[in-house]
Amino acid sequence: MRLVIALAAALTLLTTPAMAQWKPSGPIKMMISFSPGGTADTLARLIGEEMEARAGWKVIPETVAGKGGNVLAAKLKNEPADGTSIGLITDQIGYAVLAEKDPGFAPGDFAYLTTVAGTQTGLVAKASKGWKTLADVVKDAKGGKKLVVGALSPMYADALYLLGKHLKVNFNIVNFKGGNSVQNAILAGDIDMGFLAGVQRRGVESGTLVNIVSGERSRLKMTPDAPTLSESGFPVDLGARFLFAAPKALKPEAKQALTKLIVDIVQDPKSKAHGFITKSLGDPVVIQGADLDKLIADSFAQAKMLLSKEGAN
Amino acid sequence: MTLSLYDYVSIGLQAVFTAHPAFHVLGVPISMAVVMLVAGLLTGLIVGAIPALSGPFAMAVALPILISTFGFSAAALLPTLAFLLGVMKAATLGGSVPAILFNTPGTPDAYLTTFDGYPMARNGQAGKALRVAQFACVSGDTMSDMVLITTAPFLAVFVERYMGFPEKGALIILSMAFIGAAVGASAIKGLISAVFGLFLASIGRGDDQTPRLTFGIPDLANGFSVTVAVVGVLILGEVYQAIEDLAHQHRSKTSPSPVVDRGDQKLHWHERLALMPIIGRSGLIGITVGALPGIGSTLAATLGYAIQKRRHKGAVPMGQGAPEGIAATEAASAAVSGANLIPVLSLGIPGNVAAVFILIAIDTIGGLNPGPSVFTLNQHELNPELVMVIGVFVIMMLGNAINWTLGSMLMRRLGVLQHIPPRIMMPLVLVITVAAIYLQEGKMTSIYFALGFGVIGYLMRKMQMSGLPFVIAYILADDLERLLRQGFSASGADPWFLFSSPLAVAFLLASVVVAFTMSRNPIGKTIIKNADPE
Amino acid sequence: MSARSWNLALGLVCVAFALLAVFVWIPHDVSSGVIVQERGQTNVGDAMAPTAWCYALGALGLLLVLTSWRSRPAAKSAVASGPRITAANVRFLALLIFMLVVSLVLMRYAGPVLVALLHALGANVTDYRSLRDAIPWKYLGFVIGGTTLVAGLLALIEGRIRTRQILLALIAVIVIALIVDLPFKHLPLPPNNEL
Repeated sequence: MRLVIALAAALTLLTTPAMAQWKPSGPIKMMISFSPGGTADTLARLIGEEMEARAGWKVIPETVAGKGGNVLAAKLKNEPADGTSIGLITDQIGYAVLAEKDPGFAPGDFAYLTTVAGTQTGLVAKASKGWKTLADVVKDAKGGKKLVVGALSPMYADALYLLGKHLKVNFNIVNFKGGNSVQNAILAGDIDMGFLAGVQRRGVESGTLVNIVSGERSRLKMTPDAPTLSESGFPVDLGARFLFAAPKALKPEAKQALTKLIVDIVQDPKSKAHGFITKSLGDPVVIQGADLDKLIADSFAQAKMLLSKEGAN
Repeated sequence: MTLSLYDYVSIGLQAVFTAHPAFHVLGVPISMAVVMLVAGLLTGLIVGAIPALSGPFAMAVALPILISTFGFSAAALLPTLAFLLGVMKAATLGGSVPAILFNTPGTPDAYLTTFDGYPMARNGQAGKALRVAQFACVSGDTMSDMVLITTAPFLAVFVERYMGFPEKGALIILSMAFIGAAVGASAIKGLISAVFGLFLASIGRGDDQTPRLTFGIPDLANGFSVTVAVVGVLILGEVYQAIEDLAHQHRSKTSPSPVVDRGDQKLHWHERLALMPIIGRSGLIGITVGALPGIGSTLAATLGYAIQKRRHKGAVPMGQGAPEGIAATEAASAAVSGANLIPVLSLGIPGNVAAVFILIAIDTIGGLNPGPSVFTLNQHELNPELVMVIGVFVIMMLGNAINWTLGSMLMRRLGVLQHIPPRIMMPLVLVITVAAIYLQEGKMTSIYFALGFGVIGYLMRKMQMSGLPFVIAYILADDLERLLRQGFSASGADPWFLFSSPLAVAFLLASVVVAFTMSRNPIGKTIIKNADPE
Repeated sequence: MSARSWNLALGLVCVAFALLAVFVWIPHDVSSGVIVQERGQTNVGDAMAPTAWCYALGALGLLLVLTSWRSRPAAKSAVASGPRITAANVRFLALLIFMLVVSLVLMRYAGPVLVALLHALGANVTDYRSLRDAIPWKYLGFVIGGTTLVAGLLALIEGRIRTRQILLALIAVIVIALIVDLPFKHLPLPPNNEL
């Protein structure tokens, strides 16, 4: 044990000088592909604040929303690759890229630093419906009732369509913009159910809403009993991981310094960012390096499948 | 845990008075919301008293700055709204000051106040005239707020019970038809203004991954932001117009002779009592007018004054310095503001310019979705939206109380603002607006777009088209399209889904009737003639 | 032109705009159709709303054309208060737009150009991007552009250019810059956010 600590200390000593050597040449621009005030935006700003406090670098957050992250990505690609420009996107970028005819960039145009947190996506209905499992939903739908389901973005609409095919029921899919409007429609009784990426937490905890299945790779923190979509025989991952990216030509020492700083912040239980993640987003999710590259590749593979409207089973 | 209405009110009071203290006075915390309310009231009084500026001006410039200051958390809503509501409340009050002292209305509504206010001041009764204006203004405002507090919840709950996609969509169409037809010189031009707003609002937004109608410009991928369009058309258009007027105007203005106070300036209780019936009548007129979208305070003031003129029995004839004339005008125009928030809080539909900015603030900050969920009295888990709305009501009443007590003291001192030359004011307003937009949007393109919308607003003024239908349509367009698309999908692609419920059909029929009668019949013509130019 | 002809013109502009949008703009710049088939159901496409609003705009424009065609010419006295855009209005608007463009170009590029110039002259500055949060550089664009705008408009209003105007404008804009900049550490003045 002591040896491990000593080794770790030695490693830290070895890496620290390299860290200290890299310093941004000016203020760091942190682009955020989400509208101000939302969960992801708050998360990014908290991380930015903490980066300033810890490293003494100035971090200026900037909202660059639109087209599911494509606007940000197209802009980030042409930013200076000296570590003074980073952007917060999600690994769902694959869908946004493939759904647009000419997004103006390719996934290989970026250096992916690290993920920081993930969503808590669940298929949500009002508790008063009495649905506990997908089987309950199917039973009602087969009883001749046409189910109206809400999608918070086109990706979820595709997934719901395929889920309907998989369950052999017909959904009337209604498109919304954002989780809050889907949740409002569920509460108002305008639609029967829909995927929500975390906003449902308060409703689920107070007992007005239920998560029928988890849309993530793993089960939900707030409803551990609900099985995942994969466990239900529908291997689709509807969760999103928030991640920082930079232009491709980013120098390794800059990449390392930025990544380490961000990871330290989200994993430090005392940091505000960590507190916010555990409160609103589950637990910190840190995926880097080759694993992160694979995550992006998976995102593209799944997007291809969703957009082809076949597959899944 | 069970929560009663009493609990909600006390939590709401806490949210206003003790949460987020800005500083302490003798150990007593002074909350940010209260500080911002006072700041808003002072700002409102000042901009109201400066003839070139008006309440909406200050609200438009302040909104991006407030949002940048307080952010988007739930705690941001009360301070932000407190400031905006303070401006809204005090601007009417401030507007009467130069009207009475210098015969120049500070705001358009105060025009009729000059009829009796300035003669009173010339007769040595300036102090009394100001007190009459303050008394009438605050009474009308308070009445209006009470109607808002008692009506909005029921209206909102009704909406939840009886309205789905098609009904909500049809209601938006009805309010836009009403606003389009009721505002400005011509019903057709008003409707054109609204439809043009709908079209421009469709740019960038939509469901496709490739945003529509953007000419491929990335900064348009989410459309023109609401702030940019609204500030451009309403405020910058007005600024351009004012600059042009100033450039053409030869400085031949003679300054009015200073007024001197003679005799008793107090407004005694028996005099206040005598004014009460007039204030009550004008207040009701203001509330009725205010609850209808689009027809604003100028019409209310006109109606209030006209009815008083017909019934006048006072010692001094109307138009020669009758306090009743001031009271009738000020009570009516002040009573519009509270009632105007009824459709905002229960339906999310704004009726006048001030309400537009309140709604933008609510939409931008989030945490409060105007509509039924706001007024649900959850007994087991706290409904934060209800707490927020109760906080808003508390702030409004507190604002009235401050206006009651401190208003008259401040009003007299505002006379000096008359001397600020508009020719310096207007260019500075333009630069401040540019900076404020950049603070909120962070993009040079947003500045370009806002200045472009200003040109649209300027040209619309020249063509005597009101900008208000444009702006309200712009705000509601996204909701309207979404409701109709969602209703269509949810009905399983029934092309007649909009006509599937009697309520929706009734709303749609009413829209046609409103648009038609407003432009045809004589009552409609009067309303149109007197409706706000804004 | 009379009020009647101005309304007529406005109606025609609306009709023309609607036609152009429905037949050229919307078909070329909307990726889906009016009605779309997707995921096994019929949905409203992104082209529906703009197309519908354009139909309404065209119809209202036509109505305006017809009503102003049929209305009698107004009395001479009414012309002055009716809708109209005079040559003086156009001149004013052109001048205003010119001033806006000049000041915004200065606001956007004064900082970067100046720093590049100093760099070329051998001064110890790197590039504007890394200086955009440093005093005095961060105020350059806003103060130069803003002062130009205020002084220009003052000159336009007063009909002559005076040193006093420029001085007044400079002081006022510096005050505005400080008021806006000091409380907001993370909200840069124009144009520093996007460089």
